[in-house]
Amino acid sequence: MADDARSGARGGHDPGSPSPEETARRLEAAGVRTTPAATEAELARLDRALDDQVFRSMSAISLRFVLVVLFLGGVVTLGAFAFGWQIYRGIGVTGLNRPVFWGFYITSFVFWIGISHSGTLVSAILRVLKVEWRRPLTRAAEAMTVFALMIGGLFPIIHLGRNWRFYWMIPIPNDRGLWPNFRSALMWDLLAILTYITASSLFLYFPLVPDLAAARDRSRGIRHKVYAVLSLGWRGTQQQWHRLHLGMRIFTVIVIPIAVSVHSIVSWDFGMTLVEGWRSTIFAPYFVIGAIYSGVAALISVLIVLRKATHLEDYLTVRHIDRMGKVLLAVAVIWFYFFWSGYLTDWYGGNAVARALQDLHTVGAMAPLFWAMIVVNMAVPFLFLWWRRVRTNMAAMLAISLLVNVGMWIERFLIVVTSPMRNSLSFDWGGYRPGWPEIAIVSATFAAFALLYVIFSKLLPLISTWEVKEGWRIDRWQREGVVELETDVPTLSEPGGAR
Amino acid sequence: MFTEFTRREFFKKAGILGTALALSGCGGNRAEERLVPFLKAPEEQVAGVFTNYASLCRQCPAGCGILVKTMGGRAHKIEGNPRHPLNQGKLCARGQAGLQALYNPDRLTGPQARVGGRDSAFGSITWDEAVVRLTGAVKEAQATPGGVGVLAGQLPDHLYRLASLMMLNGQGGDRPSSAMGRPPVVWNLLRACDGGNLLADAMNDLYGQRRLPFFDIGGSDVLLSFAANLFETWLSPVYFGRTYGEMRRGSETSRGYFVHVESRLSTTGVNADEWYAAPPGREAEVALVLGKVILTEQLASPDRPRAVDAYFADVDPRRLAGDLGLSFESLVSLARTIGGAEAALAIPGGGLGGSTNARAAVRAVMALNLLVGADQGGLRVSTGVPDPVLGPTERVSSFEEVQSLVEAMRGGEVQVLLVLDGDPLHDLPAALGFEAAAAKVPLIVDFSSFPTDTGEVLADLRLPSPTYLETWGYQVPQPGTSLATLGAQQPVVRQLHDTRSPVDLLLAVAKGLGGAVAAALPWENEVSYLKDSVSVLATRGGASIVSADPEAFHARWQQFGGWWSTIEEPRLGPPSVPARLELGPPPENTGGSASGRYLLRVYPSLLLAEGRHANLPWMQEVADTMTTVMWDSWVEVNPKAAADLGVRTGDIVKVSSNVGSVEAPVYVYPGIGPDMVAMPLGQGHRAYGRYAAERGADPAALLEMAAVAGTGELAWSATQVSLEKTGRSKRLARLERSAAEEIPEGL
Amino acid sequence: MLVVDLNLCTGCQACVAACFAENNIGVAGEDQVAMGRGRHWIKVERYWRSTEYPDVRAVYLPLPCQQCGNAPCEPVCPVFASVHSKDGLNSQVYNRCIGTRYCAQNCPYKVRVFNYFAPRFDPPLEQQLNPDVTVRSVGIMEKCTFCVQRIRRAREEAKVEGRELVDGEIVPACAQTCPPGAIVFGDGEDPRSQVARLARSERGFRLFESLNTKPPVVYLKKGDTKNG
Repeated sequence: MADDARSGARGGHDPGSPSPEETARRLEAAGVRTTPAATEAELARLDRALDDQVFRSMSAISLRFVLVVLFLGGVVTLGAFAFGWQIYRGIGVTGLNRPVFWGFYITSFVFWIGISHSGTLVSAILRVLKVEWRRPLTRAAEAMTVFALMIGGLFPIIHLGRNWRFYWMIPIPNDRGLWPNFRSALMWDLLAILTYITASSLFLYFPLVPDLAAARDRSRGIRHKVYAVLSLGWRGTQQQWHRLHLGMRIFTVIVIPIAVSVHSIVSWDFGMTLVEGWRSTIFAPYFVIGAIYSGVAALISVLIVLRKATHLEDYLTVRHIDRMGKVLLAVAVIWFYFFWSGYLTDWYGGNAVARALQDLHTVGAMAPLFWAMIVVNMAVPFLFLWWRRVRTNMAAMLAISLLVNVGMWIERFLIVVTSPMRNSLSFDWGGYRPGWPEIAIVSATFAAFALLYVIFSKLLPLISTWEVKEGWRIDRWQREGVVELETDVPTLSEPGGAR
Repeated sequence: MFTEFTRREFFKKAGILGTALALSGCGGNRAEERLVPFLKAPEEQVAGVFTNYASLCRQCPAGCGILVKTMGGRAHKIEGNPRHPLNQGKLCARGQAGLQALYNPDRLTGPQARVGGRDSAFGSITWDEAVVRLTGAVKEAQATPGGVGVLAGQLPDHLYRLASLMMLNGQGGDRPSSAMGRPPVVWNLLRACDGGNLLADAMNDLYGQRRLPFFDIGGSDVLLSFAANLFETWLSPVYFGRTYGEMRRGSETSRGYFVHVESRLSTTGVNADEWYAAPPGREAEVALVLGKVILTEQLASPDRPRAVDAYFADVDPRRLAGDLGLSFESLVSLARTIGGAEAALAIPGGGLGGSTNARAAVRAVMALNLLVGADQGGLRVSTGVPDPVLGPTERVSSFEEVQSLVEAMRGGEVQVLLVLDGDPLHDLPAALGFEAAAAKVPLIVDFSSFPTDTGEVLADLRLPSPTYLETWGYQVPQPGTSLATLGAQQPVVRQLHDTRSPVDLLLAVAKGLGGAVAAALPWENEVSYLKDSVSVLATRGGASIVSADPEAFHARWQQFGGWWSTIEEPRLGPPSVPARLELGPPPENTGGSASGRYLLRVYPSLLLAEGRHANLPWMQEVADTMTTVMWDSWVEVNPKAAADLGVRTGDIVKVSSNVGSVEAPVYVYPGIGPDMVAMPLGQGHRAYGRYAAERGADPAALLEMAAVAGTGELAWSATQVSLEKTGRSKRLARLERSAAEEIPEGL
Repeated sequence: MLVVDLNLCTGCQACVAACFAENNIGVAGEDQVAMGRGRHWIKVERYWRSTEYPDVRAVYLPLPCQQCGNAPCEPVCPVFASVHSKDGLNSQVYNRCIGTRYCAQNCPYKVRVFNYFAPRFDPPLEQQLNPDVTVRSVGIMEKCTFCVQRIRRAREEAKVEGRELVDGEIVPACAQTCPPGAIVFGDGEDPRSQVARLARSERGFRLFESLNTKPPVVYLKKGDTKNG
């Protein structure tokens, strides 16, 4: 199809091709600027404005910033104290018991790993698909992945009965020849997360290099030295650009299966067990889509807050949110489809424990949570995201995206915590009420997530300036027929013999 | 710059990556083999060698034999003595927990006396001071006949004998008018719930021997339990459990048939093939229905004493069954099962003893036994004391005797009260007025090893005994087996604290008193007393130990944990059945029967009994089988009654009778009728150490002083109570975490 | 192999108390057991068959670790703290355990017990502790071992005396004390052993056979009817 369209277009403006107005409309829908091609002078002005905006926000430290840091830092400190208390007194300060051996920590672990998804996955998929409007938001998205992973990766350690022995899970050569158990899904988890955090850190770092160099050139003193080291001697030579692009292309492809595998593996922590409510074949894709769902929602929240807080409204535009809103709606539908498939088969199967679990969810003690999840994860996006007016209303989108994340947290809670409440021995059915350290630590991680962004905004450019600049140039070249834009809309022109 | 990256390439690269990931997951699974050597200690290393000491369990009055595994002077584990005829190596939960009595952190570490009045604190004294003070007080009290009282919940036979001798000035038999004391009063609610006196009375009426029957459950094929909590606390639960196992194993094709008749479904009742929920206090009437049907269908034993037929003459079985709310057809079917059985046995359980008609009820069950010829089968009489020299053995007092002692205390007659065992302040029903009467006694001496309620609140002098694992003794199990037995108790570890055996103390006091008492108690100490006593059995033939040398006999008696005959006691002779057995009128419940009132059924806790074990953390943490509650008391309420009241499990209610009230959480219990509630004994201690103090409620506070008609016994299940919501509730500590109504696959 | 005859279990809790005594099991206390943190290695679970008074029936299920031949707890442990021994026991290696509690989640029998707090033995209660059994620390999983220390002792005694083990020589604490003898332990591989004979009974079943966990604990069904 696409080839046909292209070959049709190759001959120039034949009568079968769309009118310029139609083309402009479709291009805009595809994220391509339809303003007239910028001149060199205009581009230079745009560049300067962007640099000023981005790099200035890095150096200015306002009172508001200090207050925010102090508040978030306070919450994180409380969480650290709670963790210390837990180590001192024993894991019993939590609400865990028999049969609910996993609680808030593992729920939050799954949640944060989920959040970590969209960052890299959204960025990588958009990159692979060469979606042009991605450019201003990839940095924030990639950073989200790294932050969420840093936080999510802590939870399996916090959750241990003997946290101080966590390194026994890591395959370190030792005198007893002891090796961790690679049959355990937790080991897969460990490896997957380590792989993912490595990959996503590099994925964040690669495109940062030119920006770091720009920051280096604009800073003095200690900052200058640090940026100088971090920018790896970037000079912007042709070869360096070439290598950067090549590396990004490879990485973009590699990071997608890694991201998908990570959440699949996280789901297998549950799916591979014998626990009713966990044992499932659908869990891997269900968790992946759930992760993308929560991640896209989180990205929307982050973008809305960032554009407001750092005055980047010109670059992180309403249209970006609008488009992300569409993505969110699509993912919501897929998520619900998976959720419903699992639920229906469980219900139809009629297994006593599965039934008991569904009773617990729909009419039992967990009913408020369950129905809240249905409302915020399904009803709210489905009822509101169809409307452009909602999608372009920042307050509404912030509310919806936050609600979706609340819902996804509940969804993880219902899966992780409530499933063991019902098992084959009805004598051992149980409940769970979190202890204060669990609440404190989980709250602290949300604060830590925000804090990382706040600090990040002062250390590194929140927008990939060179990619935005590149986008403007591609826009220009493409209008001038220099490059072909790979989108699903027909190309305007085809450079002769480019293939 | 943006070269094409095709979908094909994408899949190819993703595939390679995926394979690489998958491969990294394999391998390395041999590490577990390398782990094993660290899991298993090297073979030649052992922590040490256990030394087993044979002794006796004194956690309850039954008198099972035990072996205590010790190492390095510490006791590590108690197990049943496989040689002992009663329990043959088995032991109950309470017996297992004896180690926590020995090593209890709240034990008294030495003799203590109040520094001032009864509200003052205790100060340490020396044993010499203690003996001087005790001797002086007893000497003074000697002037008044009956001036010295002895009270206990249970006593080992050697101590009972010594205390009796002392109190009765060395004379046996009934209380001589000149005696300084009265026979030791041995009673608590556990003993009342056992109903042993009612059983012994019935045996006395039938056979002229005032001894407990023993039930040969192992040899029976149909077992009827009339409110007997065989496997919980009743008389000798390990013996019953062990022989029940024999019955159930029976032959290849038969598992025996077990029927339980009781108003409340007990832990024991669950094991029954059929449970008949007769109205409370009317359980024995089921025996009347069965007997009548057996007679009518001519299924009775041909060798029965014919006089017994007359008992069932006036019974209209169909009407009676209807009255009881039971299916007549199933009772007929049961009667046929009994009639067709080779060895049917009916057990009149302690639960019958709670009602005012208990005397008649026990007789009705005995009549059924005679009817089916159980007296020639499973119903036998316990062997008594092997030699009269070793007697008197422990006799449970009637409630009347307890009342008369308390009366004497109240009247200022009792000068010295020796609390040799137990915790009367906790264990006796509050309505008895023990606490107020105790205020009139100038000197109360508590011999408990623990800070009991009595010791903390009432005692002037605390002379802590060693626990049963640190001291000597002997005991004749009652009910025993068909083999005459004298169990041997010996210390298995050195005394942990500065404690002294009550036997040694009483001997020291007797010496100080001089006169007839000293003459009756000529022994130097506990060991010489025991050696002297048991030597009468040394040369008796047909026994496990025969030795011409008394020293050697004594040593082997202790080594094996006792002496027992190898010749079975003869069966019962023909009974002398009274011409007519009156079952009497239906039970009367005090407190009226207005609506909103429930009959209160108390029962000894499976694990805490009457409260003796409430200071053992294991016994608090092991769950009650039916309710699975731990560390607490509860009120069992029928689900319908609970719905009417608007209460759920964990809601705290105020339970009030005419004489008192307690607060306890509700446990909604399906196995109890809507017109009654049940509460376990065991908790509600004011003191008794960190594990027991201020925990739960004691239903003894609710009991009214009704008597079993025709006896001096307490009808402990004849009190009506009302329930009142307090609006509070608590998270009841339960092992079951939900209703457990979903039966696991396969069960 | 352990055979539990449900016909014989009277619900007397002797096995539970014996297990506490033998295996140095710490007492959790009221608040903790109310949360479901009791450390009972063996529980007597009471299931209601019918709760309509007066037709109320229940059944007891003494539930120790099933020592599955194909144990769900073993593959999930990331550090090999839950491993299979040569004798077919599921061994919990206490000092290797880091407390992920994954094994307990995956245990269909819910018999694994976690030390949420360090066990407390108020002095001098610690003097009772069995010298053959480790006292477990905070943050690790523990469970029934079939009294592995007794198995070892019996085996060593036999070795010292230069003979083979005799059937019935190894007795776990629960089986030792059980008054009606509902619990029997022995070598299931020896067809002449008592357990092997009992396990061949028509009443024999294993819990959750459909899960293919292959437990060596065989239950003998409780008969409900006369002579059944």
